[in-house]
Amino acid sequence: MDTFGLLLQGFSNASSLQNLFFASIGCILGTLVGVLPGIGPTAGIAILLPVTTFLPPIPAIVMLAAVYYGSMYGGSITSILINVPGEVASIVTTIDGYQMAKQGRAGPALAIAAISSFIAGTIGLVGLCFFAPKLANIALKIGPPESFGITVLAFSMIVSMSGKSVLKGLLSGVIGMLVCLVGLDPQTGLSRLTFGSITFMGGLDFIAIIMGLFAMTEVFKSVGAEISAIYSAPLRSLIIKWNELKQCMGAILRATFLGFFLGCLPGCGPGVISFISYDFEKKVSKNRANFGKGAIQGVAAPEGANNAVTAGGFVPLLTLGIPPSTSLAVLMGGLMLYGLQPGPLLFEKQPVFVWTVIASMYIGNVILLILNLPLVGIWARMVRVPYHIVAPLIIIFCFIGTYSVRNRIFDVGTCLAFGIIGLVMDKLEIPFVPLSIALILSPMMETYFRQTISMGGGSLAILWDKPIALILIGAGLLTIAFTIYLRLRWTKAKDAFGTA
Amino acid sequence: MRFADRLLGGIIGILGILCFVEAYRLWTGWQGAGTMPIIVGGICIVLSVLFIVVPTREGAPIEWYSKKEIFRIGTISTSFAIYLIVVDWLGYSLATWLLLAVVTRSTSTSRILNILIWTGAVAVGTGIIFKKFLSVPLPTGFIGF
Repeated sequence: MDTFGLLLQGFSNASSLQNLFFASIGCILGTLVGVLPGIGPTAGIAILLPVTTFLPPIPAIVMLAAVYYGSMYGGSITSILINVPGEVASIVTTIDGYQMAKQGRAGPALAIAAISSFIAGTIGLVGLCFFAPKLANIALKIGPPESFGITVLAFSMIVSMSGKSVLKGLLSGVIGMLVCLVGLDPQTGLSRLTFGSITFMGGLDFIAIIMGLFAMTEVFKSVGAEISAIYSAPLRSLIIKWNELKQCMGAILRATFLGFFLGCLPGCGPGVISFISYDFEKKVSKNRANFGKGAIQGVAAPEGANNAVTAGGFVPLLTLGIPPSTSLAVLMGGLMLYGLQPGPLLFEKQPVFVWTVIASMYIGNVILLILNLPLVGIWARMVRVPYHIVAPLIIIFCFIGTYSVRNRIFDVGTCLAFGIIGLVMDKLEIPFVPLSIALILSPMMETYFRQTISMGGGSLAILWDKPIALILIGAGLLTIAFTIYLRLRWTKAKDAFGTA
Repeated sequence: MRFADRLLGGIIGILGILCFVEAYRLWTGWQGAGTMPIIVGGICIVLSVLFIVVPTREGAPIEWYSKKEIFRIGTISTSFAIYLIVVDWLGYSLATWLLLAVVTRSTSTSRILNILIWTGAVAVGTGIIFKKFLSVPLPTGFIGF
């Protein structure tokens, strides 16, 4: 069956009452996650992931994907109305969105955010349908050495996700690799770093670590934080003028293409891309003088970009098994919980699953548009919920979430321990993202590395006969070297600027 | 942040040595279980040296948590740790009720009665939803709920 036929079949499955229901629930929860400061999409997916294990795989992943793209839209509501970005990708929306709200144009700002998200999300999905099967077909021809090369290349994104310090990013990544070593070796059954403890032989659970780092740490950090400001002026109208919409179309399309293609690259998260898109639009727009003062294109561009990124990010995730961002790394953990290994074989072995999830994302975009515009007032009021009510609920979800996966209190203890480790890491400015990426990639890299060596009869010399693998490994090493070089140059330039 | 960086370097160095010891114990060749510990151990040692030797840029001093924040974090984490010890015996609903009451009390100024009612409703409500409707096998304890 061709791509179009598979997509139609996906639409047919995604339109079942069960899948529509869970897509809607995911959109609502995602918007809520985006609206509530302190719970980003990663924590949102991590909290809900174990709960969805009681569902069949398709509705579960349909719901989690909806949480992911729903949170992108939800974040814009609070950015525009109260100048508080619900998640990192919406930070840039505050610049012009909040200015528009202060000028009494919150309605058009919210409307253009929703329309831009819808258009960019939908076009991004068309790109996903077009590029993903082609990339999967190419990826099908690769063996363990090439897969090892891909994981090395994917690991190189840790450097670009390192935040302020490359060293600390690498440290975070190596902590992730260390954590993966604890337990029984999957190939030989020998215990590693267990210190003779039977409890440790089960390994440290991925979900427990992610929930600890992203949800528990946030609870510890945020207790006592109150949101005082709330948009009190009435939302006069969500109707946007035709003229304004026409002005924004160019910005939306540019943001879509930028967001989609940059989103396919490992290491480019929605936060960075929405900034790039805003900056690009500011440079090319005829209305550039108004940027920062309430330009409607300043809302359309970042909102479009961060929604196109969500579709773009699914290309490497589904075809190569490489999560380009933390949220998608957690989502990938969800796929693996169901025994679904993202990668080229997923398209061949699980076409119904893949195309139903993709089709559900088209439907989810429509649901978001229909559901959220009339409910925007309610979402804005959700920010009033004090954190001392939200925090206990997150704690409960952390307990149920981690306990339900393997029914082990030890896993909940791991979650608590990583909540505290996360607090220390936060203070020492050690980023969480490389750790979570390493948790996913490290076991894959080990497997492919050992398979490659077995193929070569105990030697890595086999790589000389595998040019694609060599190119991928070289590209990974070059990426690391180039990123470090750029960082050093940037630091020097900053110092020179500071002393001038 | 130099002291903190060096301390980090020391800790990661110890972890690296631990990996090498483990790799030595498990070593059967490059396709064996000791491969990854060697690689991770090697990276740890290199990072350790870099953290200790390379002069880091002096940034703003770390603003550690205030006494009030440490008290709150300590209360929540200690309550949660005690909760993990007793939850199998007390059961999910009762243990969760007590945990939430302590956590909410330490983070809000609401009246105790209100807190007890709200946290009790949440504990019992989530217990019913997850146990009965979603069949999550939560600890039942001596009261059976």
